[in-house]
Amino acid sequence: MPLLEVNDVVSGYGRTDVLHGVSISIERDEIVTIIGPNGAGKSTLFKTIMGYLIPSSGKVIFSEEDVTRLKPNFKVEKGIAYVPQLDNTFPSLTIRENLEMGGFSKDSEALRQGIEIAYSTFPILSDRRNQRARTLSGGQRQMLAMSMALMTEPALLLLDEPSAGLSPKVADEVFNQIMSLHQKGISILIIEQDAYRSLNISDRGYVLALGQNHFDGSADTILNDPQIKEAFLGG
Amino acid sequence: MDIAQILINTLVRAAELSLLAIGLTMVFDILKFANFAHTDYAVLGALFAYVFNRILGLNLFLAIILAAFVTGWVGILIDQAIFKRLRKIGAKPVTLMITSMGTAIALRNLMRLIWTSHTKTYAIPLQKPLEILGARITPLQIGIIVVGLLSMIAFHLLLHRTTFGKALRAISDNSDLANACAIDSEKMIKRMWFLASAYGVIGGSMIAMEHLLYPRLGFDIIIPVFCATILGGIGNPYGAMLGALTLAFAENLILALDLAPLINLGGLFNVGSIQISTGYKPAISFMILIIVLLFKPTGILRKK
Repeated sequence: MPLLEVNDVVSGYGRTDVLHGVSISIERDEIVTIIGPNGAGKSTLFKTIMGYLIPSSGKVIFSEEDVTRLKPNFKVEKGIAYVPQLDNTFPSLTIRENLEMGGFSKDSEALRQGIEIAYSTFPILSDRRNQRARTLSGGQRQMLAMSMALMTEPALLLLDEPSAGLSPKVADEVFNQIMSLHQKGISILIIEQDAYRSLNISDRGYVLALGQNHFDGSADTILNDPQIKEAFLGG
Repeated sequence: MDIAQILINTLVRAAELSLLAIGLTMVFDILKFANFAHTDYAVLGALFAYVFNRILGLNLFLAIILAAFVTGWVGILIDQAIFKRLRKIGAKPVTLMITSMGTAIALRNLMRLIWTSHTKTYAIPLQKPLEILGARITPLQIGIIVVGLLSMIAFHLLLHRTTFGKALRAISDNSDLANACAIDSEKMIKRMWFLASAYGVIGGSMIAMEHLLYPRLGFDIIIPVFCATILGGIGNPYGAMLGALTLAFAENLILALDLAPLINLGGLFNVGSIQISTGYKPAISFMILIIVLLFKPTGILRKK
């Protein structure tokens, strides 16, 4: 059984459907990238998986349990963590407070341990623990956001454009970090503009277009398919 | 009136107003609507305190604490019965605001039904004012200032030292992300209503102690409370405190001004001191409110 299964989901905002029957799945220990042009419904898919949007039909199944209508905070407790694209930290809270919020459902001992792990993984967060998150650079903010998501020890991590707005060097660091998370046994689902970099570390990929599955296959297949290359990877 | 007296009166008024303004600003910050029933919750609590104090014979201080607790639950109940339903269907802030106006009218008339519109007083013995630097202050007023100050400190500690306070600030920063952090917003919103209503009751009871208590009091104090909130920057609790202090000072300064020189025109006439009647006090906050909305609608302390 896959870890997460999205089954023929129809979802959107108000009366406007953005997803017209999308199906994806991710096995344990997989990294999967979802690519597609703007407006393909990638972010909408994540919001539907998390429960910000409730699909009008279709199912979301996590660890063999139907979680379609579960609210985001309960999904987090089930083991799905989500790092949104841009507003992914609390700017007026200190770095330490941000991490505490990341581990909100944890007891104080687990929280303390989680924060220590985050500090040792990213020493910069430790150095600046009492400063507000709004003072962080783009790369540091992304590190904090990922650390916050990891506080709950998730089985599945959803990353929405983790390299958006970062310099190539910092983006490399972020992707190194994603690989080391994967080695710890976390399954990772990524939406990425920088599809090459992301597919290079992925097992499989999906191509979405106009709110529907367009193509799926192993990461290599997608990277080497001339048609997809031309249409979705910028030639 | 000398400056010491103006300062003392300012502190008393600021303590009362800030306790009310904090709750209003907090609800606005988290739920994005101005709760026009806020001051009516406060008066409902003040009337509960009246029942506990005058009819059950409880000590006034305990009566107010108990009333704050009970009204905190009323705040939660009204939210569950009315505002939560509207939140669930994604109602716009303006809908919530109009609903709160309706709630205020219903609440005010319910209070009149139960307690009649006659004025009431708490069991407070007549107090001899003390003299500090030539200014007069009653022990009750000292109590109001101290309780006000302690409440502000408690509020600050609550926001920064407790999990609930941090979660509230997180929701204020980014409510979607707060949900992705396993923060149960609805649970936090309940606690916030409790806190906002309870703080309001302390402020409302203070005003009732200093002046009079009657069911329509909430309507009469709504303008200064809104003025303090907006003046400080709506959505910012520290702004609410600062706004309350600024408004209280302005009120007392303007009431203390001697307008005779304006009339006498440098010896042309010879009129004794002329002061604005205290009856115009509400007009001062109205005036300040209009000026703030015209020239600096974001208030003194802009949020974020």
